[in-house]
Amino acid sequence: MTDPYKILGISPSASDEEVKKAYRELARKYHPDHYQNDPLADLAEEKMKEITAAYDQIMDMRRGSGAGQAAGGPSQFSDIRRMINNNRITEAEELLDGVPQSSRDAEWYFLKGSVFYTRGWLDEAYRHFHQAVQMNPNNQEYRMALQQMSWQRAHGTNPGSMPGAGGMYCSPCNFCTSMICADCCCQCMGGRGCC
Amino acid sequence: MFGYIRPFRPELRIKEEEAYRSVYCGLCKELGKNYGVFARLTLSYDFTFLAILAMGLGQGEPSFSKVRCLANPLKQCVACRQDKITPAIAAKAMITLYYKSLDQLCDERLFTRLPVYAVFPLFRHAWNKARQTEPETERLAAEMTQKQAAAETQQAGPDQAAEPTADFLACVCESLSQDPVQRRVLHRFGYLLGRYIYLSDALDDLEKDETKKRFNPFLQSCSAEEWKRLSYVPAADSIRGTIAELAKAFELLQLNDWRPILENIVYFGLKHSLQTILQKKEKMA
Repeated sequence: MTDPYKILGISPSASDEEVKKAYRELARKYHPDHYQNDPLADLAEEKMKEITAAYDQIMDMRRGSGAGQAAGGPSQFSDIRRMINNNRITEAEELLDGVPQSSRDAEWYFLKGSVFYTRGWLDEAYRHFHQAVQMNPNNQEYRMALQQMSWQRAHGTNPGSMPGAGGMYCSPCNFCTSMICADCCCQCMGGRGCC
Repeated sequence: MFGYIRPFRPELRIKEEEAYRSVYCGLCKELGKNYGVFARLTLSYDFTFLAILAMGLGQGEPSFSKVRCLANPLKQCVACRQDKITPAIAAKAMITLYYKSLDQLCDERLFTRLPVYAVFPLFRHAWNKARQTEPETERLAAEMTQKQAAAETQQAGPDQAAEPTADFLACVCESLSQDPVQRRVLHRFGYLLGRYIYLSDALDDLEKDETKKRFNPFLQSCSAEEWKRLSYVPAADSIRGTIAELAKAFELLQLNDWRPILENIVYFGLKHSLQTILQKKEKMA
């Protein structure tokens, strides 16, 4: 098996705190929520499993107790849903297109959006997710899909994995910290008229 | 391809900038050696990115040598070259160049076409040589041109119109690795990268295309005047969404020491190119 420290990108001398931090950062990056409907979701999931296993292994080695975390939960899928998840896009689209206009509900728009998303037709995907949310604003899944795309369209990055200056990662959680840091830098540079 | 894939220099470390430049020089030298001096003048940043991506995925070690620069013969620079990669990327560059110039010859008015006519035989000669070393790229590029023409006659919107370029780059990127899992990731990454290039180019040329009455997917829904009133927001959103999405695929790639430069381009460079396009439009107004 590969070195769990290598997987987390840290040295074996890292403190427990550093291990946790490295794990959290990677887990945020590869979290299933980011790759929802993504045709590469299974790879991200594998990566996530690898990271979690590495983290568990390190923690086991250090303490002899595990701290596993399961990610993602199954939900109900119709046939078309299953097809989309198995990357059988053409078939799924054919079936979707066969549904008459009158019976196209929020779920239909969501699935059609997922098909577009898988193909990389991001504009159409966005439009369809939007429609799905409008028709059923209470569905958490539709809202998440739309939210993710809205974030991407506004920022050009993904929530939680936004790299900041100098290769440091900053997320909405530590956005304030980053601003404070930036402020400090600006102040000390300010004397030379830089900011 | 059009030069929208470049690093964001303020975020590059000095060693990274030097490495980046050496790959650029290596490609430039390779083009000169295989296709003549004119070819060196056509090199774009996009192919430098592709070469670095290929090196980032590969196993082999690149070699470095000192060369004289065409633009500044007094200066010596370091050129980076890798046996299987550099010649292949140079050939891909020549094939793409040929198809792009072909497109210009069909599209433009006579006045703008004349300079292209002047160099076209050179392009054609280079293409003839390149397609023999890269028959697969040649097939893909010919297919892309055909599908592009079809999309344009159908008055396609952005998603559909971007697809030929996206498919082309998906296959080109996929071919950079042998590993089946990496190939899958590269396919998605390349698709979105091609989409990014196409949409950026379409946004950049919006006004020009309208005056010249050329096809532009963004002009299918509203006029250039209306786009200006919208501050180009829907188009910019679409491009930003594409960048974010391709970053996700990028994170699944297994890369070696070249990763920081590639990260710079994917996380900062692409967004910066978009910013540059938008700023240019602001200045025009």
